[in-house]
Amino acid sequence: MTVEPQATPILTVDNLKTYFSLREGWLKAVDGVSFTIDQGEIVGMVGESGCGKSVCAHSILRLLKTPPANLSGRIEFKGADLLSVSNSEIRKIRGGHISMIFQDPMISLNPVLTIGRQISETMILHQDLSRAEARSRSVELLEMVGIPGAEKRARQYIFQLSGGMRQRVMIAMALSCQPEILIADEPTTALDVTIQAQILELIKEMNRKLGTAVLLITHDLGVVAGYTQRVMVVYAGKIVETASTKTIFSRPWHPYTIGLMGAIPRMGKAQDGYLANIEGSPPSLIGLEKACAFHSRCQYAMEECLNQVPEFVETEPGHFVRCFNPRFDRRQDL
Amino acid sequence: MNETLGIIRRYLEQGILAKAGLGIVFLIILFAIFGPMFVRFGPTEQDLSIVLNAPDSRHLLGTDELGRDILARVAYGARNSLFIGIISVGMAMVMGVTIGLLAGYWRGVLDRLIASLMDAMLAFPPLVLAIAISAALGPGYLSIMIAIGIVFTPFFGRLVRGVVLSVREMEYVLGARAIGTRDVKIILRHILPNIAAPIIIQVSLGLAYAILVEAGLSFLGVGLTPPAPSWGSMLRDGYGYMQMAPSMAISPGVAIFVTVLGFNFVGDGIRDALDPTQQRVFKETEQ
Amino acid sequence: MIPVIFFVTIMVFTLMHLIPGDPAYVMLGEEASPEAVEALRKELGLDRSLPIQYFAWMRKAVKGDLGRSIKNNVKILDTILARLPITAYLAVSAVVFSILIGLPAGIIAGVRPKTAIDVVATVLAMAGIAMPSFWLGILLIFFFAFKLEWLPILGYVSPAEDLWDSLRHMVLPAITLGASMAATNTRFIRSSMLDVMNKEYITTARSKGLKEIGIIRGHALKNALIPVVTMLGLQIAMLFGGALVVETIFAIPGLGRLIVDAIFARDFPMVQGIVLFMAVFVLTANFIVDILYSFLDPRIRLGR
Repeated sequence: MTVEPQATPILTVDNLKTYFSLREGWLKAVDGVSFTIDQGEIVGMVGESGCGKSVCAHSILRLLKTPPANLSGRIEFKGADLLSVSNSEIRKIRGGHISMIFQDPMISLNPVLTIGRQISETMILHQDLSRAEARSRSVELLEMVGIPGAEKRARQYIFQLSGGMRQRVMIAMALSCQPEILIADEPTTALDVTIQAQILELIKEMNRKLGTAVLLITHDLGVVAGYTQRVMVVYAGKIVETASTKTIFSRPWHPYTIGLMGAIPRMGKAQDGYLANIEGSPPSLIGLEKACAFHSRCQYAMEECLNQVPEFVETEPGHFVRCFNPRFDRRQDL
Repeated sequence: MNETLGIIRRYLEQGILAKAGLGIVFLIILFAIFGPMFVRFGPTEQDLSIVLNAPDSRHLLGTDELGRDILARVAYGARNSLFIGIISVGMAMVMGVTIGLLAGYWRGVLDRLIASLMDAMLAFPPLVLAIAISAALGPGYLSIMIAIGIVFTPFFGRLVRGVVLSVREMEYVLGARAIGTRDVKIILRHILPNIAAPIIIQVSLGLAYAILVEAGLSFLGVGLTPPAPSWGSMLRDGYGYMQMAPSMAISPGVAIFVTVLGFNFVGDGIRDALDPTQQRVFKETEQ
Repeated sequence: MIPVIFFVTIMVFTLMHLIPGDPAYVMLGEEASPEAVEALRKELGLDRSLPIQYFAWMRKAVKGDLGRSIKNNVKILDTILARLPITAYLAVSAVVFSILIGLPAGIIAGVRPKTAIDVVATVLAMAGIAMPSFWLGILLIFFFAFKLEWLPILGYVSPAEDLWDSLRHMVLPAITLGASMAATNTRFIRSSMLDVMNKEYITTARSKGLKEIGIIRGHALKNALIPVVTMLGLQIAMLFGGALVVETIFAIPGLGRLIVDAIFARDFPMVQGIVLFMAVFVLTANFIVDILYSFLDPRIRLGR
């Protein structure tokens, strides 16, 4: 049974700013990010490493140590602002309504506890199951994510499993209480290429089966292309472009997005032997100036770009760009 | 050179304990070198008319059961303790690094032999082994230094061997061997820099412990022969006169305590300064 | 293990025979006639070559016969075994004390680093390490036994005789011996906890909604305490060394006192026997600790 993504937002992030106080100044990891996640949809958040997407994810569940982190803005979920609810409230949300899976399951799972125990733990906490009930549910969950011999595996430890299976365990653990949203922070980066596809398929299948919305964070445009319905492109702590996946791949308008697309090797196109790359490197997130963060690397930079931070502009319905000079007409030969 | 300065700077950033430790060690060294010159009395100068005096303006720490000035004995004792400590730890370092390198780099039978030998040495309670060795060598400075040196050798040896074992598998070392670099050059160029840091830490902590061991030996009566002033033997004597002249026992005790504390702080400070794992401020994906 | 034990025995033997002083003279006294000394030496087998003496000793030692004491001709092994429980009693008390103090202090300091309680715990721990045990013992006796007269100064009372009095006598010695262990434990547990609390799986546990206490108890402790177990094993050797000093100060008739007395009395076979015993004991204890360790850590137990 497929669940049609309805346009009902269940999570609304409004002007989230996550700054870290360092000796050298404020590190603005997330600098005014706003987006929504609709029920049952898979949204991609893409950007290079260090752009703030992972911090954004951790901010939603308040997993950062607050000093040195400093969060402001509003994150609306089920009528409450996640940034201002009490500790016991956010604990109920974590795992129960919003779950998270992480990049490297080898270090993100406890090496000395059995798999079954780690999965059961969430259910015992949120759903008040008994130990025995939770255990049998864990086995079912392991089967659901495609791990053969689930009964035996539940008693094993994570080092006894392969990388792909470990990630499946994380997924099972995260979905055990049927949360409304699953945040997947680079879930495939640490895996072999062949396994990556399997895990992404699994996530897609779970989204279909359970109706869980997914925030899929990655640096890999290929992942985004195949598995998301909507995409947000992040650069230097801000979202610079967002649109449906199809749109963004056929009509990228932000110079950075265009650059990213150009850097993908494509089959069947005449290549002159070089992959286009974006000159320069991302700016330091400490003490950003009042300018477009991308201007120093942008071939289309204008006067304004050096003096002001561009705002979001809706250039066509559902397609937003943060740029003074979006490339409506010109784009890299895709 | 820059690297050294950077380490020194990081050390000073460590916090108050590291700085205090450095201060203490500095003062103790000054005290040991120059103290005896400024003290009014000799350490073995007896004056039976003023035995067991409480501290006063002439004898700042009082006198012991033979009328000797306690301050003088503490000062000369500092010289003895530091001297013995430095020499013995130095010996242990040289011997330990050597056998650690031999074992770790060339492996094979030699490694098994050396590793077993080190394990055997570590099976003995350090104090017991030190007593046995110094008893075997007879009384005197040299035998204590050799005894402590031998006892501490496996600490360095094991440390170095461990580091060498892991470094020799690193790719830059394998690469160097593949192009035929001579072993000696590999050791000097690639291995030694890696063991420098742990060794320095171990030296500092070793000094602290050596002072404790020497004091322990003296306390039990198998250390420096009287009347040579040693903090440990002063404690032993002081034990019997606690009620009458507490300064006899307290003074050397404080001296040992402060010195060992200082070296421990320094050792910790160095360890933290050299530790590359900075606290991750936030989780960022690394690729 | 075997080569280690081999080296141990060689070391013990060599050391004993390097110590100046002829056992025969010790037994007969300095004025003995050379013929009597010679005869005794022949009888004790001291005129044979060293390697032969070594093997002879080893052959008997393996069977449990460590020879007889020069001083009072009692079987060495018997003396050792008689004194062992006393030292063990002291050692266990010290370990208990060190865990009682070290474990909570280390955990709290590790979970709340850089706070006031962490600084206090760290400074106290460093003080504990720097404090020579003999000085601490003297200080404790001075204050608690002398001035305050709460506890007895010296001596040993067997628990079989009078449990309460026995414990009263054991308090100060246990604290003296255990203090530096407590300090080391505190620092070690602290750094282990600090390490563990920064691991990714703790963040994962938080993302599941667990309470901080639950995370410490269910996730962190098990990981943090595994290396601590090996530490405890290593401390067994230190315990023997410390016991020497503590038993001397507090007049406790254990193995430590035995060896010190034996050294002064030039009772070489006794010293030899005790040292050998201690070393073998330590090796065995470490061996057991290794096995324990593999039980605790599933990664080692199930082999990867």
